[in-house]
Amino acid sequence: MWARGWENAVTGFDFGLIKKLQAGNEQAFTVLVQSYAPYVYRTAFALLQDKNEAEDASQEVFLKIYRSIGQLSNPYAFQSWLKQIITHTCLDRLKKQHPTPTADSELDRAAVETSQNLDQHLIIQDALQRLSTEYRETLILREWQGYSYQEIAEMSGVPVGTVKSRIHTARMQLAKMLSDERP
Amino acid sequence: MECGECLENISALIDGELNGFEQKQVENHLLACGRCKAVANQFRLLNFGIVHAVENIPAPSGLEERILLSIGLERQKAKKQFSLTSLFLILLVSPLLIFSSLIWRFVYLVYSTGTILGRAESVLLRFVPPATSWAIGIMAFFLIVGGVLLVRRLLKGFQFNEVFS
Repeated sequence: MWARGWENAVTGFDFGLIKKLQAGNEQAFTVLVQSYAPYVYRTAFALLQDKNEAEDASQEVFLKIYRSIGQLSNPYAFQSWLKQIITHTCLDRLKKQHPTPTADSELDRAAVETSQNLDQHLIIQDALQRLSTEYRETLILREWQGYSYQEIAEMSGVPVGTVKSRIHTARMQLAKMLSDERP
Repeated sequence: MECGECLENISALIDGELNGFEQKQVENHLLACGRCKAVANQFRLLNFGIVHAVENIPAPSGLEERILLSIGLERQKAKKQFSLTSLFLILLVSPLLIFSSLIWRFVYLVYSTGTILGRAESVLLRFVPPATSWAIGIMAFFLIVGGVLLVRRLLKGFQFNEVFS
């Protein structure tokens, strides 16, 4: 079993940093931003598929941390707390967007099209972009964030059966897109 | 188990979301059916590919700086709001202070101290030569400045936030 993106991002985390943050240490906040900003951005981009939206969401996530870190009673719960903040921030933004399938943005797609040597991860990024918002959201919450079907159902406000069906359909569609890409 | 039913449950099997009985049924079917097994392997590879693809999404340059800048602006905004709220509360409460005996006692203390110092000044000017009086004043000034510098040096590097939070 491979480590999920979330697990890779939090390996070797310094819990003393949280106590420093709660004491108002500005340097500690800079360290936190430098350590987590890429992970937060990647998660936001995977869910939102828009560069500007992902950057705005990243800023919003860190503002929420800054405002409410004092309320976190257990520093060891920081990682799941952060994961929830990222997920809820992105899901709120997705709800505000139109529920139509995501249109191809110029980002990365252009890179994929112009590149002569197509890397596998760029092809998958492109295929994820072409999935409908609901399928992509459910699959990313499962694969990248590591949530269970039950947790995804609660966050998305849909039955567990729908989550199961969405994940299966998303995988089927991705597999088809990837096989179509191959010469 | 038929292939159709197995295919519907392959994702749940990979994600560990099936109960013991269902898991056994799907696994038994996979042992016997090469086509469904190939789909299961394809999904497993796909999951690995998704994690790898998201890990390789390039973060924009200067992202950390922009986040820290927005935090800095938030901090300034919070300070401004705190100052304005404090000012508003002081303005709101200050009229009530004229009814406080403590305030009047403090005013009386300041007045009494001023009167005593004024009398002491008259006595000093009468009995002590002006040069000595100036010397005492200058010495007092330097003692105060030295005292402030000493206290600042002693408290340098002291983490007030961590102690008082």
